[in-house]
Amino acid sequence: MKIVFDSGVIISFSETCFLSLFKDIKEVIGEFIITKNVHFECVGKVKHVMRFKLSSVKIEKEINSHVFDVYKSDKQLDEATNKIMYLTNNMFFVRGKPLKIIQIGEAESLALLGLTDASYLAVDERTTRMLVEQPHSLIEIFKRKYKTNKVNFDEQKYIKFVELIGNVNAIRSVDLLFFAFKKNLLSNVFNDKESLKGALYAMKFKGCSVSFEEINELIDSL
Amino acid sequence: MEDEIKFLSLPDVIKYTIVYLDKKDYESLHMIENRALEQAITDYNKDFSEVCVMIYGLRKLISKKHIFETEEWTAYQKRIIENLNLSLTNYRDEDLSKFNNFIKDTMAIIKDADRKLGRYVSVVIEDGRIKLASTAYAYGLSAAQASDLLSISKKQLMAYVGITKMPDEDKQFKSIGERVHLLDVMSGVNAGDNK
Repeated sequence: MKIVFDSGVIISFSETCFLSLFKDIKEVIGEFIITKNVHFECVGKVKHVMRFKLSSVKIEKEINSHVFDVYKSDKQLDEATNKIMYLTNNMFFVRGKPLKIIQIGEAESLALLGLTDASYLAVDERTTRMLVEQPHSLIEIFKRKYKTNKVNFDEQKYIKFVELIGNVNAIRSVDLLFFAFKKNLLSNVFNDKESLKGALYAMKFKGCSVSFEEINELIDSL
Repeated sequence: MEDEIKFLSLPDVIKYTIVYLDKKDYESLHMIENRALEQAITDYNKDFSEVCVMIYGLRKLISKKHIFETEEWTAYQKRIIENLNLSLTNYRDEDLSKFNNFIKDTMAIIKDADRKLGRYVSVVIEDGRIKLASTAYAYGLSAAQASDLLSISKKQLMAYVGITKMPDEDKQFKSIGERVHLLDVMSGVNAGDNK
């Protein structure tokens, strides 16, 4: 099975010192793929900023050890990316204006899903994840935030978008960490639920879109 | 629901900023900043977002008595208002790059005032960029789009979002358990693909 990774999940793992876990998770799951843009965002863009240099060095090491395959840009990817950019940034309208909600880097990762027949997008941020799995919830957010009922959703563009990305699911860093816990891949670090809770909280504080309620519910169920 | 929102042009925003700054009206500056930010997000307009950062810096400084009651601040404020008036002249002359330069200069003055008169190590303009980017993210822009609009890194934005209640406000779609169960099933189903 293939998973396309957004930069957020890789950064969350790096910031919580779980980067080496990717190798073990990959052995259970299959292929991990990133775009050149995600590689740049995790490594090239921040390697000259002292605050982020250590994290970029660690991520580069993971990429060099072939945990992540970097998909080389080609005409097919560029074309699919442009289509995704057009469809997603003209899908939601607030008071008649289309909202430009995503950037080229995210569009490229979404385009890669369809081109590689990936089953999952690993993404921590809310908007791209919701686009993939619950676009109607975005409408509710726009109505609440813009304090208007004049929010429109272009269903036809959404259908074309789904045709391009394929039937995919979204997964976050907290989900991957719990997956690793269930598979005993964390046993050399910890194997009790309180430590797991601490690790999931750490992921949340690094920006993973997950609520305290969700984490607490999971821990209570174990 | 507030459906009829009057469009504010950039000169309108600057004019209101001058008036409210002169009155040291912190709340009205905040209101203008919010309206301008909504326009920056809706139109993905970086000229608007930069002006929002500038207003954020101004309202933070004038909310502090130990800053705005000093003689130094009076001199800073005079320079800021002169700069903003010059930015308006350039906007009227349709010279947008000069307009933007005056906004940049104004931010440099704010940074200087913050450094010399403020009591905290954190920098008001940089804090403003992060907080406004988190608002843009809350409004539904992706993390990359929101951080780019406010010229910060996605890493800075996500670290800030992590300490807010934002993720707790969203309706849960699938629980962690459900997602991991599906991943478990899918990885089992597709196990043959890996070999």
